[in-house]
Amino acid sequence: MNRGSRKKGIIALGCACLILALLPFFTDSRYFMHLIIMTCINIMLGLSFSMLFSAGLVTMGAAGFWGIGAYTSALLVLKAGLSFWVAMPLAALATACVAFIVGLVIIRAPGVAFIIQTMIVNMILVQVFGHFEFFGGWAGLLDIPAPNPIGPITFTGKTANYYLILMLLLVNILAFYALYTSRIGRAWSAIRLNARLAETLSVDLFRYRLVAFIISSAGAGLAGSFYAHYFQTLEPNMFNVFKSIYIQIYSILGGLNFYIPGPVIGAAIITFVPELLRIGKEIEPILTGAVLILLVIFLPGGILSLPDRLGFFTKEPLAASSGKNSVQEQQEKRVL
Amino acid sequence: MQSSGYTVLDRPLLRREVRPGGGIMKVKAWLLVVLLVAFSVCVVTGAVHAQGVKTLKVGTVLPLNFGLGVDTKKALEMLVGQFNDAGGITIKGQTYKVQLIVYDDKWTAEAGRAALERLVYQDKVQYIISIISSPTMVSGLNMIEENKILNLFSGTSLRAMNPKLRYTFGTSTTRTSLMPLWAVAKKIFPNAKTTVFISPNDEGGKARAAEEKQVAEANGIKVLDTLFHPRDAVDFTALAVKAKSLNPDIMDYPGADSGTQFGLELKAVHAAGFRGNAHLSAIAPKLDEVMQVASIEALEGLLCNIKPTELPNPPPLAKKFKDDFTRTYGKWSEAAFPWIPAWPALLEAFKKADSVDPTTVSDYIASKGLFWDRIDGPARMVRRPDLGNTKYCDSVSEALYGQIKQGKIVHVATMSRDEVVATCEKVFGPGWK
Amino acid sequence: MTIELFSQLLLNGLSIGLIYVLVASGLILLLGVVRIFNFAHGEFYMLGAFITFGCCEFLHLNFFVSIAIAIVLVTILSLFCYRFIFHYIRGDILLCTAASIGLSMMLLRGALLSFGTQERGLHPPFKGSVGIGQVNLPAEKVMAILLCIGVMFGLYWLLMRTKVGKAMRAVKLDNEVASLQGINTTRIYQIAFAAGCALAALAGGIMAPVFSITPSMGHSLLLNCFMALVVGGMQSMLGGVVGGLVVGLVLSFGMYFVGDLSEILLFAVIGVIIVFKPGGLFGEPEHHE
Repeated sequence: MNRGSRKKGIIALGCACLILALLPFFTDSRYFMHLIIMTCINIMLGLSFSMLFSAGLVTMGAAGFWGIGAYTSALLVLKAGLSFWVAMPLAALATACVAFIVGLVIIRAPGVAFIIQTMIVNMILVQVFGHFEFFGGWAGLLDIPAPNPIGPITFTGKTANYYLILMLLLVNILAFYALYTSRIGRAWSAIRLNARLAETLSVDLFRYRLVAFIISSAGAGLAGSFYAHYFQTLEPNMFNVFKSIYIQIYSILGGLNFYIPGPVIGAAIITFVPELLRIGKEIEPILTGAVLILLVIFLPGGILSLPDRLGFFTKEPLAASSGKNSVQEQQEKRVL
Repeated sequence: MQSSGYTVLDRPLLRREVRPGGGIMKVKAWLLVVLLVAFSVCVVTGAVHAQGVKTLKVGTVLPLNFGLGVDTKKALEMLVGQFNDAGGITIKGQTYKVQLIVYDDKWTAEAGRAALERLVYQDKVQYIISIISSPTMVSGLNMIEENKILNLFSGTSLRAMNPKLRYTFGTSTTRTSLMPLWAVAKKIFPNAKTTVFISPNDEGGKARAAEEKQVAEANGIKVLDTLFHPRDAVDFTALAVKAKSLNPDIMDYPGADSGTQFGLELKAVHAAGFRGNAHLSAIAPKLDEVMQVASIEALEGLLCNIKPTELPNPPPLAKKFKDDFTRTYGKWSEAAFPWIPAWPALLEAFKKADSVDPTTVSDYIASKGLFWDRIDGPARMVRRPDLGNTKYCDSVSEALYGQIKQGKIVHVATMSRDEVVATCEKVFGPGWK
Repeated sequence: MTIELFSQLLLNGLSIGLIYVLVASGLILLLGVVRIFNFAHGEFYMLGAFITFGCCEFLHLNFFVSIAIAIVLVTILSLFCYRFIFHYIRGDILLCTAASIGLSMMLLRGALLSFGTQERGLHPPFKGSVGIGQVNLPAEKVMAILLCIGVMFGLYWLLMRTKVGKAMRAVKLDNEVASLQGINTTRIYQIAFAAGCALAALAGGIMAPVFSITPSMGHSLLLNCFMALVVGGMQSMLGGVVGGLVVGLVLSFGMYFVGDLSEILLFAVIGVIIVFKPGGLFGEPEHHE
C-alpha cells in the first residue's frame, strides 16, 4: 500500500462517514431509516460470518449466536433490571462463552461436517429459546424496553437508534480491521490458504480457529443486544437457519475475499432489494432467487470483484469464465 | 516446533503481499456503498405515488408463502374492488373509496415488521386489517398504537388482546370457537367422559390446548393427556399409538392445521385402532384436502365447524362470495373465510361511528362494541374479562357445526351469537356481552 | 414396553428412516462425486411427489408408471440445472450454497404458484394394512420399505459392479487422476448429478401416498437428511444408510416417549456422536486439511 492510495482511502472513508453521519437529515422517511438500521445490523452479522471465513471456516449458525446476544440482553434488562448499557457488553460476553464451549466440540469436525454441525447448533438454540418459558417460549419476549436514555438523548425514535448502531458498527469494523492486520489475521490467512502447510509452520489450527469462532460470535452477540432493544420483541424463529443462510449470502454477494466491505455491500443489497421488489408481491422470491443464481454464476467473487473483472486496474480484463484471478484464489476454491 | 516464538507471522509484510481489499479497492468499495445508499433513498422515498382525492388507505400484511395468505389476498382484493365499483361509502356527506395495500411477510417477524414500517411510515395507512401471522402482529403492536392506526386483525395471538391497546381489535373467532364446540360435543356425544388432545407445540397449539382443557373440564369431560408434536410433523403413528393406548372416548386436536396435516392425524389415529368415531376440531377443516389423505372410515364421526358454503342451501352472502370468487379466479377456495371478517367489520364500524377517524372509531368499538355480518355469518364484538380486558376487543360469530357421516357432511347444529356468548360466560364467567 | 409396541415403533422408524437414506444417498453422491452441496434437493423430492400425484390423479396412470415419469422429468430438470448453474460452481461450497438456495426459493414459490394453494394427498395404490406378526403397518409404508431396500441394493450394484459406478467412485477419489485414466469426468458429473436427483424424485414418488403433498414438504425432509449426514458421515454410502436409519428410529421412538421433545432427543444423540467422532460415525476422523 503506497502513501498515495492510503491517503485516498482515508479521504474516501471520511466522506462516507460524513454522509452516513448526516443521513438522518437527508430523509424524514422513518421506513427508510428502519431499513438502514436493519442493514447495519445485518452488516455486523455478515462481518461475523466473514471473520470465520477468513480462517477457512464456513458457518451456518451465525443467527443462533445473534439470538443468544439478543435474548441475554433482553432477559438481563427485563428480569434482572439492569441498564441496557450494562447488559450489552454482558450479552456479548455470554455469547462468547457459549461460542467457546460450542467451538471446543465442533471445530474439530472436517469440512462439510463442520458446516452442518453449525446448522444443528443453530437449530438447537432455536429449540431451546422456544421450549423454555424462561425465554418466553414460542411466543417470545414482548415489550423489551429501549436503551436507557443517556442524558437528554432518548432512544425512542429512529435517529438515536441509528447513531447507536452506527457507533457499534464502526467499533466492530475497526476492531475486526485491527485483527485482520495483526498477527492473528495473518494466521487466519495462512490457515485459509493452506491449512496443512500452516500447521507445519507452527500455526496452531485449533487455537486460531477457536479464537475466530469466539470473536465473530461476540460480534454477532453485540448486534443481537442492540436488535433486542430496537425491535422490542423477540421470538425464536427470528434466529433460525434461514437467517443464517441469508447472513452467508450477505458475504457471498459482496465478495468473499473482502472481509469488511463485502458484507457491507451484500447486506445493503439483500436488505433493500426485496423491499424494492415488493411490487413483485408473490413472485418476489422467484426474482430474488434468480438474481442470486445469476450473481453467483457471473460474479462468483461477489460484487466487489467487478473492478477486477472489468479490468479497472490491470491492463486486460479477466477471462469471463472465472472470477478468481490469482493462484492463491484458485487454491481457495478447493474447500470440499 | 515452538522455539524462539518468531514464526512466519512475525515477518514484515512484503509490498507485493498486499491482500485484495486494501488501498484503491477500498476507495471504490466505499464509493459503491455510498452510491447504493443514495440510489436507495431516491427509489424508496419516490415510491409513494399520489392517489385520488378522498381515498382511504387500508393496509394488510399476509403470508404469501402459504396458500391461505394467497387466497386471503385474492378475497380481499375482490371484495375491495366490488366495494369501490359500487360507489364506496358515504360518511357525513363525504364519499370515500378504499385503496388496499398488500405486503408479504413470509410469516417472519423481520419481513412483517419491515412491511408494517412501510405501511405506517411510507404509505401512511390509517387502517390495517386482516394480519394473520402472530410474529408480525406482535412486532408491530406498539408502532400501531403510537401512530393511532385502527387495527382489525385476524390472527390468533392473545398478546393483541392486551387491555393497554386502544386501537387493536380481534375480528376472527379462533379464540372464541372452543367454548361452543364443547357444548355441541356434549349433545352429540352424550356418553363421552374422557378425551385426549393432540396439538402442535407452537404458541398457538399450546395456548389452544390449555384453553380447551379448561373448557372441556368445565363441560364435565376429563382430559387424559395432551400429546404435543412438532409444528410441521407428518408422521403421527407414534403419537396415535400412544393416544389409542389411553383409550379416550373423544379425540380432539386443539390448534391443529385445517389441511392435510389434520387429515394425517386422523389417518394415523384410525390406523392405530381408534374406533370411537368421535373426533373434534375447533377449526373448520378443509374437507377436500383432508379427504385426500384420510379414508372415509378415518373421518367418520368428526364434529367440526363447517362453512356456510357446505350447507345444502348456503345463505345469500356466502353463496354470492363463492360465485364471485370462482368467477374471478377460476377456482374456489374456502381458505380465506376465517381471515377476511375484518373488512366488513371496518365498513360497519365506519357507519356506526359515523366517522372515518381511527381514534373515534376505535373508541366507539371499545365502548359500544360492534355487530356486523361476516361473509360466513353474523358476528359481534365481545369483552374478554378472562384476559383482563373489559373493553370490546374480541369477536364471536354464529357457529355452524357439522358431523361427517359416511364421507358426507351433515349439518347438526347452529349456535347463534347469543348462544355462543352464553357458552363462553358459562366457562369463564360473566362480562362478555 | 411390549414387543408389539417395540416392533410397531421399529417398523415405523424404518419406513421413515429408509426415505432419509434414499435422499441422503443422493446428497452424498452429489457431495462426493460432483462436489456440490445442493440445498434444493428437497425441492426435487417435492417435485417427484407432485408429478407422481399429477400422473395418478389426472392422467389415471398406474402408480409405478407415474413414479417412473416423475423420475424422468425431474432428471431432465436437474440436468438443466446442472448445465446452467452447478457446472460453474463445482467445488466451491459457499457458491453452491448460495446458488442452490436461490434455486430452492425459485422452485418452492414456483410450485406454490403453479400447483395452486390446495394441499394434496394421494390415495395409496394398495389399500388396507399388512400384518407382520401382531403389528399392523399401512400397505403404503410396507411398500415404501420394500422399494427403498430394493433401490439401495440397486445403488450398491450400480456403484460396485457397473463400469459407470466404478468410474464415479474413481472420480470421487481423485478427479484429476480419473481423467488421466481416460474417464470422461464431465459426463460422470452429469450422470452422478442426475442420479442423485433421480433418487430424490424417487423418494418423493414413494412417499406421495404415505403422507401429504405440499410445496414445503421437501424443506423439512431436507433438514432431517442433513442430520442423517452428520450422524453417518458424508464419505460413504454406508454412512448415509446408518445415518438415515438412526434419525428415523430416534424420531419414531422419541415421538412416543417424549412427544415434541423428539427433536431435542435427536440433537442430543447427534451431540454425543460428534463429541466422539466429529466427522460422523463413518466420516473422516478429524479436521486435517
